[in-house]
Amino acid sequence: MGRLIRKIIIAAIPFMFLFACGGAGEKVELIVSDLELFAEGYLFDGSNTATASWSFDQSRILEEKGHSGKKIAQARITSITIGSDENSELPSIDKVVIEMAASGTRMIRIGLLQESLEPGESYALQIADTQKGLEKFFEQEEITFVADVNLLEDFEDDLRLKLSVSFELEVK
Amino acid sequence: MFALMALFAFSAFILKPADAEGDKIVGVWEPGHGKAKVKIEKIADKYYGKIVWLLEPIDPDTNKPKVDKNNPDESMRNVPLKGYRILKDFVYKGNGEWAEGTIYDPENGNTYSCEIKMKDDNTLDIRGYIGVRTFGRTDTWKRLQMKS
Repeated sequence: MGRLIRKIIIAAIPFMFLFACGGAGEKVELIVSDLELFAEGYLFDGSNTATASWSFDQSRILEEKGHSGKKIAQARITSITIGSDENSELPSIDKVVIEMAASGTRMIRIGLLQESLEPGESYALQIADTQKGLEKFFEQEEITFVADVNLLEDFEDDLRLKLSVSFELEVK
Repeated sequence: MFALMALFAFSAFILKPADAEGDKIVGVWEPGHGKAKVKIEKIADKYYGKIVWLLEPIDPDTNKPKVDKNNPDESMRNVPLKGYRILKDFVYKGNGEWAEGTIYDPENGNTYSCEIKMKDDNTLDIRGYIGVRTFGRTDTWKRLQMKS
């Protein structure tokens, strides 16, 4: 009987190692704010592309969060908000779609807003259910946030919108 | 130091023409079926194309502007088709070819691997395929504003 238990324990050791290594990491929240989505005018009614770039260093982000030497194993967006300054002039906008792009990975759609935007207000986007491979973006050095802004009228000025994105990162 | 300066000078001569060549795809294009017009633009260092015009912009079932109702991600089925980015992540490979991209078919919600070949300044061959390039379909797109 004792021999059997010993065999079971020995057989279980590799699995215990596997589970220990593949277990859930620590959750870290990262808020990327003060980004400016910009589209150069003159803009015509219909879909217009505005972009905002965010340069970063994964190891520095993790160092600041107290996780030096670790990696981002998984990432998920928990909120996206857009808005504008109170004094800014905005065209009539009815929908905004936001995607994320980076050189070493594929563009993915992350959010949708189906509301008219008013100056000085902030709006939370509906977050995409599917966020496959988001962690790969953090292996790059720069992420470009791409907004397709649907204008209901022509707009002769530049378009500037504030963007804030919150991530939940799993760090191992 | 000299080697570094030489490298910068070399980059200026070599990289710029390739960029300009890759940018030849930027513009508005009409697919073979003529039901849409697609604007190809450069974002960061890749090329993307979105629908800017639809022959039939209104969905007869809803009497509202068409949306991406076949998207596999249910949360994104209200995204309007006008403005939809159907070509994604193309990298210019030289010789009038853009590769490593995808094309999305809103009619069935499927995304295919895709390569683009510029036959002349005003004609693109767009080849979509699943897995192996041999098993795919090629469509010819025409530039809306012809370059002479």
